Amino acid sequence: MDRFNTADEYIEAVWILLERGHASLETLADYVGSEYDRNLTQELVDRKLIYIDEESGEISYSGQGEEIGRNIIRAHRLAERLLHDVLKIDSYELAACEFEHIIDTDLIDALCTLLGHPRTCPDGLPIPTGECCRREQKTFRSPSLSLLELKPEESGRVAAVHCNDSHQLQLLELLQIRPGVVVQVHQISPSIVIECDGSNIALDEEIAASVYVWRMNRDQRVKKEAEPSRIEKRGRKGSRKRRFL
Amino acid sequence: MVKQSTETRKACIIGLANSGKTQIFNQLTGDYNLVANYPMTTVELATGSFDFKGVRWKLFDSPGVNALGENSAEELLVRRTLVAERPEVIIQCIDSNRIRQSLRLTSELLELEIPMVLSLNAIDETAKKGYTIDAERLSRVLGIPVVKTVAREGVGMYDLKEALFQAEVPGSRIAYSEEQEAALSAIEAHLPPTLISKRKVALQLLLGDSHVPEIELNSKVYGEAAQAADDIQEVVAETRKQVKGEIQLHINRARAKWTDELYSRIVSGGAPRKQKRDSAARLAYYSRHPLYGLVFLAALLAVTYVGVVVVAGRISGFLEDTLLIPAVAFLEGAITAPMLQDVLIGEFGLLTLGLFNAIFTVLPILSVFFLIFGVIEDIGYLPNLSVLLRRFFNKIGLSGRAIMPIILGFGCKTMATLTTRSLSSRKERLIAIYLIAFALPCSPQLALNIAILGKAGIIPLFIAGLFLILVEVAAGKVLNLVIKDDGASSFIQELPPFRRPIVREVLKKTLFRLWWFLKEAIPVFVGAAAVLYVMDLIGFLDLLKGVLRPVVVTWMGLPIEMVEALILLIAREEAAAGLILRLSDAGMLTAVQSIIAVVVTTMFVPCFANVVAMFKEAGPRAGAAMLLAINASTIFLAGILNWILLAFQGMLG
Repeated sequence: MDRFNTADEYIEAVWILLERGHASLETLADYVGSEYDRNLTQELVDRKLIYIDEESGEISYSGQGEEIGRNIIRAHRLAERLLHDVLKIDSYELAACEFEHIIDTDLIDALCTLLGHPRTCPDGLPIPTGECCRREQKTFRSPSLSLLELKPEESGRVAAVHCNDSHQLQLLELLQIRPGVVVQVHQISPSIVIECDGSNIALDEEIAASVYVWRMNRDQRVKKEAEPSRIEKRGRKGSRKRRFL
Repeated sequence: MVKQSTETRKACIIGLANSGKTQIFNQLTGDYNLVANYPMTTVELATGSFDFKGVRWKLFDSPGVNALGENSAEELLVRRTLVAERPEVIIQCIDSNRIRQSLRLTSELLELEIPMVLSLNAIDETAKKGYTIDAERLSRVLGIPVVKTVAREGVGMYDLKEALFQAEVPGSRIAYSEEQEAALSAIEAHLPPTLISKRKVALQLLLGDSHVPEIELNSKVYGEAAQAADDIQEVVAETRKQVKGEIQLHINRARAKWTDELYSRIVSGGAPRKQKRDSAARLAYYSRHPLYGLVFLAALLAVTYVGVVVVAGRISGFLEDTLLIPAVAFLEGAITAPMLQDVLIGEFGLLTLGLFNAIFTVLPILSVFFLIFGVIEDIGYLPNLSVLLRRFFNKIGLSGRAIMPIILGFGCKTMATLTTRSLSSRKERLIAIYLIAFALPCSPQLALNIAILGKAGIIPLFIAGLFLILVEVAAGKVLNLVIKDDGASSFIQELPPFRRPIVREVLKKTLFRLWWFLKEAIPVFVGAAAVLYVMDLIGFLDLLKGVLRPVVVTWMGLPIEMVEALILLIAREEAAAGLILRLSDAGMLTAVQSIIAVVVTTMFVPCFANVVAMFKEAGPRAGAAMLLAINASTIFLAGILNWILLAFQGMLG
């Protein structure tokens, strides 16, 4: 929160202040500190993102401003979650400041889904919900594990395939062992045998170790296969022309 | 009435392995082509035809593929066929059980820009699994006819034939990233205008393929394309710089996205909560089980033993009594000239050692064995065997991928040697080639060895088998230590489902193999017999026997007649085995000698075709070194075994 040199930062600040109670020119200036620049605040007004009550100095969002603020906060706090929970980085605050400038909603929603739609950031502040949370995407609370850690008859949705050998990677890809697809373990000895897209495939430990999955609970398995992928919702943003089909 | 001349059109069936392509082919053409539940069975392309609504459709079957790139020989074969035949329609046989993999293939096929028809095969099995596929929607989205079929029951065949007339170039397209699309357009601009499947060709060029059959095989465009090669390479190099990471990964991602989107639109329902394993799946599971799997294998080996020793032995005996002995007697009577008699039906008679040996001795054994092996192959057992043996293979320096070539070695060593090409690690290739050539008995060898030892009893069989396994393992370990490590490839093996053997197919395959044996082997049998005859005549054989006596008799404990077998061995293993069988029948071989004979013939000098393949795959130097090592160690080890067994026998009194 050191660089208060863009309007974005101010919009974010407004959100935080509103969370705390109320936002006004005074509290905003206070919050920003010595670098406070009245011009940036004016920029927000000019862009019709905030309204400032002339008498009280109270700041409120316009519809558009709120949307932007919401997205910034959401991105920021989800990033904090990622850095703090998953990557276990202590200085998550700083890095999260960089993340908040990502405006690609799909990417943020993906991150949100990955983390399991967390409701609060590591400091306890609420994370604004996204489309993905509203649609109640099924998600996996546990961090991803390699196939080696699954027991027979357990299933997992592939999170990533960490394989350096391009030939092997291609083989796996053709067998549809790739992110998003569900695999089920049938056997672990003498070789690991999994089922993926109707095929039974035997793997050795090395390859199995390179496939990371999110373990699925039994009831999730039932519906999972046929749920529309999150890519499909792209249509709602009016980008139908860009659809592949 | 004037007879209309029938128009001829061509169609090609393409699909995943074991998706039912050949069944569709058979249903449509009424032809019976080979189907085996084993990857890589349709090695050559089968063609057939059928007439429908005034058109003669020429149909091409193809080997199973998952993609249309350079990933495998099958893929290149399919592409070459498409260039050579220029079919009007491509029928994609979609396995409804493997929708995603099938759709991925669809994504590649539609880039060919050839009219298509989809056969949504095995559609009945989806209901069992609790999900449905919306064929109408699929048809709408892709803009091509989609026919639901159950090929093994002949359902949907008429509709499929009709659909051929409505085939269209699919309207859907995979959209790649901006840079890639720009690159593709640029490359396409440089390609000769008459080239079909330009987008596909451009894509493969972008990926940096070294083989592009669409250009290489098309003489009309080759010249033009060659001229544009530099420009095209420039575009490729530029794009490589712009695109972050491997282009292949980006392409994969785009395809994956397309596949997922299409999947979500046409598939509904989900796997039922408790999916009962059907009996085929259960059998497959047990065949791979660490414990039951071994029991299963032992049972199969036992069946093979009984079949080859008992059943084939009886058949052989019967044939000999009813056909051979009267024939020889007749010939003895008919041919009076002693010289001729000697040549034809003497000790090295062209007929006795050559033809009759092949037919009466070897053929019954091969027939039974091929039948049993054919069934094992057809039910889909072999890939599962590789699962079972993998750990064992790792101990001798072979990764999982080498298992299949070695198992194939039990079928035919020459073919197995050629498939070692698929191993990416040179070290593994060398080890695999050596082990295949060394103590591994190929189908005929295995059959004949079992027959020879069977006469001596089950313990000799066991001892010989154990010895060969130990020798192979030791050889593997030695090679593993000696050859420099270079990162062995990992084990990914697709396991086709178990299924009931199709009797007609097994029989057909057996007959095919027997026919091939007769065609290839008999001339060699006869030729080898001729060589022996001449050698005997000029006294060279006796000379050779004298020279080799210390090795053959003293060291290895075999009767001196074995020299003849060794000579035959160079030509063909079955000829040697046939001779040994006759020696055994005549009571000239003790149990120990049978063991040594079998062991020697299995290990010594692989057959000529195999040697050629060895040199081809391993290179001349490595090949020569291996050959030397194989023969030297054979003589050495066989002798040692002989002395051990004799000592043992002595101890037992």
